[in-house]
Amino acid sequence: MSAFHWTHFLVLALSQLPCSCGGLEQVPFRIERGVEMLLDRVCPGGGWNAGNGIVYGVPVAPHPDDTAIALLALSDRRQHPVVQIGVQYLESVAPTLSAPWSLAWAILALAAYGRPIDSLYSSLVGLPELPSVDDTSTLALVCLALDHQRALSDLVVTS
Amino acid sequence: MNFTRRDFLVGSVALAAGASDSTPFLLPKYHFDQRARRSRVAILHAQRYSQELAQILWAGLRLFPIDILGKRVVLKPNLVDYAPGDAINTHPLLVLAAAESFRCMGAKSVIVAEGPGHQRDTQLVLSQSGYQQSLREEKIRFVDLNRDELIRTPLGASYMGIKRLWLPRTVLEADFLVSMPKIKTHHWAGVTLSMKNMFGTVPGARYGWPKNILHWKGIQESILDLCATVPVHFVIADGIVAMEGNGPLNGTPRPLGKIVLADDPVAADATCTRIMGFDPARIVHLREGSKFLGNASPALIDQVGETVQAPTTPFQLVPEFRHLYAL
Repeated sequence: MSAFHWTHFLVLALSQLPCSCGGLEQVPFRIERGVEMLLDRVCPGGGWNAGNGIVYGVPVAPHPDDTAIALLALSDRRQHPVVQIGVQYLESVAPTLSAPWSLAWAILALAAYGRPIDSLYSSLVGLPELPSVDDTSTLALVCLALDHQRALSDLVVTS
Repeated sequence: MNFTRRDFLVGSVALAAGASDSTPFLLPKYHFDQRARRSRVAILHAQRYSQELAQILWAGLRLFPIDILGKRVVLKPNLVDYAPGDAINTHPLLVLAAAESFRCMGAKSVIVAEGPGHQRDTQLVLSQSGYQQSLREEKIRFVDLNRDELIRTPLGASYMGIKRLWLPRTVLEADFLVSMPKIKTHHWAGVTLSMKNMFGTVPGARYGWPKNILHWKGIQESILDLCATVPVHFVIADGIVAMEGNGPLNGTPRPLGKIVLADDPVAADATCTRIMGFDPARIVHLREGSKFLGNASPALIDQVGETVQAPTTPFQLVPEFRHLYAL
């Protein structure tokens, strides 16, 4: 269990390190180690799960939201084969998503990589469950996805 | 932070207890004995997931003298993640059958509630696993326990070494809480049944995924504290297709053809482990839980329906838990 690492927390830490610890000389090293770990934890078929890509020798399936979040953190490594396969996975799964949380993350990540998102955007707006979502974190994320250009600009992610 | 001698002793005991799954807890850590004098368990035969489940379950529930009239019933299935063809989650048809039965028995309301511990997008699990459409068609409300309103709640036992947890209002205010686990082996807990299923009541929005505090404080300890705090009034365990091996996510589907009902989670889980070919006394939370939460001994369980029979081939386990096999 001690070898299990959580993609989500790592990515959030990576996204915050440059701004919250600016000037500390260890920061670039820590970011690089975090990036290395993300690249290492990729699922064998591409994309990221919540943690390890293999558990007890068994490959695990990727999650759309974790993959999108990891891709956002790796947006300056877009030529890396692992990243490109991750983008392919997300592009393939995104049209099937009917849950606002995952779909919103997918829109943000694919927009960051310059991929077409118009149909995904329409899907998100048209989700029948959207008006009844009462989770504020999901609602906030949907708002960011619907205003993805400004959101990505604030996250310092450029396509 | 100042440590007293008592802190050191308690910490040492916890460390000893957590060092091995076979090491007993050295001191009782429960606040009161919740055991009924006797418990009742029914094993029902169900070969497949079909509309017939409603009749099978209805007949099974009639074997128990339970009064549902006017009560707020909360059904807590096991929803973790979704993978096509896998036996990860409690099947939605069984949950629908339970909802229909409790409505027929006069429940004031029936809610399905869960807080998945692995996939943080609960809506995605609901839609992929077939729950969303089924619940909508039957007009059954779903509450995401990962994001429900929370109440700071004193714990009914102190195995984790903490005094309180934030827990969902929906669960705490239920008049009749039904744990509906999938019968599975678990690579960190040995088995995951009605007691381990209560991990899903711990809110991810407060404690993170996969309910981090529970893993840091010890899985066996957390199961005991949770079950001492959130009473499970009834169990409907889905063993029609169970899971063996590297559960709870990556194991192998194991057709078992059984549904286990019980008015006591310890009795339910002890019976399930016997059906899987394991010795319940070797599972820490069952052995300890039988001291204050419920009855594990067959002598204290009224068995109705089918009889308990160990399988010809026991369920497969990851190597760390091979000591669970009954001799």
